[in-house]
Amino acid sequence: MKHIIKRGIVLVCIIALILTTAACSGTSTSKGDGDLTYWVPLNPNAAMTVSNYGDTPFAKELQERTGIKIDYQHPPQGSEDEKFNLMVMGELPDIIEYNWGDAYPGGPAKAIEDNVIIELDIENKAPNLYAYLQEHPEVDKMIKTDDGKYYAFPFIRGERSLQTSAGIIIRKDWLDDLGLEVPETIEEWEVVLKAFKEEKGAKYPLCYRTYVEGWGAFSGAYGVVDTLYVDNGEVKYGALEDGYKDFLTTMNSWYKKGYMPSDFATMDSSLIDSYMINGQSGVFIGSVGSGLGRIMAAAEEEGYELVAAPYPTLVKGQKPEFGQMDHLVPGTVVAISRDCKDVDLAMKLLDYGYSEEGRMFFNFGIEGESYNMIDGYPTYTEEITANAEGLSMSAAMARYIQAYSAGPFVQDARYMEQYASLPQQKDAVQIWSNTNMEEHLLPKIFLRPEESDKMAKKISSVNSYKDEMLIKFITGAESIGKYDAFVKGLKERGIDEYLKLMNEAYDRYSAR
Amino acid sequence: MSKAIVKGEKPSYNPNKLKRLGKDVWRNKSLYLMILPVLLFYIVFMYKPMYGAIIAFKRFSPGLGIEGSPWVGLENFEYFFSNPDFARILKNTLKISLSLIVFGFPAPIILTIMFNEIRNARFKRVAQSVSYMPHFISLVVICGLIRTFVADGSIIQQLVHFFDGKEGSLLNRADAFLPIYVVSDIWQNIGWDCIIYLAAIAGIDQQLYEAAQVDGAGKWKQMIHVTLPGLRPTIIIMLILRVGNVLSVGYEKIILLYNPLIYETSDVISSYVYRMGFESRDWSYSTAVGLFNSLVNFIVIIAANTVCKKIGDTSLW
Repeated sequence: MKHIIKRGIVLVCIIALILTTAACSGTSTSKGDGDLTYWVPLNPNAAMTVSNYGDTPFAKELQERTGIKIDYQHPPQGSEDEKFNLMVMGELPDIIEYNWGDAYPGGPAKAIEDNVIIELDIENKAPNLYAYLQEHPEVDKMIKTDDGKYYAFPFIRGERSLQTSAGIIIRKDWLDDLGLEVPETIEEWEVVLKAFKEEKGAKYPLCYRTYVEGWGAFSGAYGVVDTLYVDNGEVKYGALEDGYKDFLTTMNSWYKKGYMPSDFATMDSSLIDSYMINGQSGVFIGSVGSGLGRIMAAAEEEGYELVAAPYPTLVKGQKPEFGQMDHLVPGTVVAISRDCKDVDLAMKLLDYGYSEEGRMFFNFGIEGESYNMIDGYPTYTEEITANAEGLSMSAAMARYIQAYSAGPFVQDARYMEQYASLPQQKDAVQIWSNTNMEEHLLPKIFLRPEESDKMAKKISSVNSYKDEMLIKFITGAESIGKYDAFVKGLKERGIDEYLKLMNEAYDRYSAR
Repeated sequence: MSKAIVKGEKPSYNPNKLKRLGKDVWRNKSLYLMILPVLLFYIVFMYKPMYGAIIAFKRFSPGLGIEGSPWVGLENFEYFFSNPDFARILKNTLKISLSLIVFGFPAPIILTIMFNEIRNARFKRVAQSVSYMPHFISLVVICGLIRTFVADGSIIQQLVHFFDGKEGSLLNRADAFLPIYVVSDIWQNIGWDCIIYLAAIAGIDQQLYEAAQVDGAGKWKQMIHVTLPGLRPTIIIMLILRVGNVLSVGYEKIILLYNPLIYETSDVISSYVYRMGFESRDWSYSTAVGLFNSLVNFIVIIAANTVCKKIGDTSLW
């Protein structure tokens, strides 16, 4: 009897061991029979209907049109970064679509130097993209390293209106009830927040998150942004500038008056949703689609209306300096790896999206299926707008087009016009875009590889300290009187060196 | 076999010994087979990754791999020790860890003795099951519960509010983090940690209790003079193991509970490593900090073991 038990245990152990090793080897990348392997995180909207991007009508049509067979490979959702890093150390797929600017330590130049991705001969091998770059030198700069090497096929926001998608959103029906206008200056904001709290019974009139100061949501009024920005050709760090202290003072007073939730630092988005929908708050900061559009659809209150508020200023009538604005090339780009078997073929595939035909295909899909030309305007069909299977618009789009996410093509404004189609949404983009942010937006610039290795830890040390202190100053856990000590703390952590190097990098960028 | 561990005999590696080992393996093959998975586990998951720790002395770049990355000497360590945050995270780590030892360590022992005194078998079983339930709940869920327990308007928050009149979630208050962490840790682990002590109590000879009763010892005296001494070896071993982890406050629970407002009391070495490694992708630096952490733990566990050996007769090795 004892023997049997003992043997049983051994058997179980061995089986467990075999199973674990088998499970480990099971996750390695599979080599299919396609011409090219294409590594890309599967968009969550696409993941609602397919498990591999190759199964979407879009991918099938793309392979048909280009005559190139593609094996799509996806990292598990939520651990893209880990998978990316592990992958980079081993054998690589032919094509890798990812945020190369941020994901690879040291940036794209370092990735080429380390022989992870290859320099691209855009001029000769990608005629469509090259033609676009000739017309748009500002984009050309963004996909080159400092020494002029092309490193990727970019996702390009084709128009200024596509670069802005988020800002301050306010309850219009409350304003109307109170006989107030949409506030423009900090002074007017004080009045509105007070009225919301006292007359509308909003527990926390303003659903505030500090990350929005990276765009200068409220700090912009004081002439600073809570990160790096450009001012008269010089890179500056908001927390070191004069206006920052005044901004903190204002926010602190709002916090003390109970205009913001006491736990705004830990608030998650579902809490903001419920505050907004239940009328506990009247102002939040969000995007056109998942903010304004979604909350308005979810609210059941009679007459509930949200509108965009312009980025506040100190002086009435002044054009705001700062606001949310995405880069022309926001981040996701497509690079070709060192292990690519057929570089010319990969370039041919990736260049397709920049042709006239490819542009229509990536933005609107297949004519007759996902869109129809009506009076010269590509209009999405009901397959997209009112899907028979009950898919949401974004999930339906994910099957047919790539304009909702990213990819190697130029995004078309006519996509956004149809995606965010409420009048309030159309106005919102107009209102939020009306800033001077073009002059202040810091392009994606990179330190030299050897600098960035040394600076990485200092940068995160600086930012982590700044985030901590920002919240402390607003909640009053640290008094504004300690501001000088805060600046000293930033300097101790290396902000000056960081700024100096970033200014050099900016000069190199400008000289590209 | 038993001869080999007799003190004074120097181990020598002559072929005779090897043959003897081979024979032993053959004779007890099923036992060796049983230990094989464990051995493999340690080699694959514990020893092999140690090699990767050399990136602490390198400037690691994933494209170049561990081998190809250039050496930088002690640069990463120097930055860590000169960092203004160093003192704070070290202080927090020690504070949390020591509090866990002082308050968390005795808790399961006390609970075990209480369980031991319960006469109603059914109640004892139920109480025991209930007490170790939290151990099986995912940490993410546990932390969600903790957040809710101390959120603005919760009973605990209201209670604290009654005494000091401060508003807001307790997790937004720097001074409340340590108690929240320690109390919730006890709640999470007390039942599970009891199991080993219950096993030790079961091993105490019943005749000792009978003898004590004959000598006129009441329940209390029995506990002091029989149960506790019976538990002593187990307690000491557990304490050494616990002390060896003095700098290892797990990052998972910390990062699920903390926020920038309370970094001051909640940021520990492991959460710092996590932020550096995953948010700024500086693996070399975070490895260096992790290595420092392990080194201190290593020293402490050896010291603790030596002390225990000197004072008592129980030790790990």
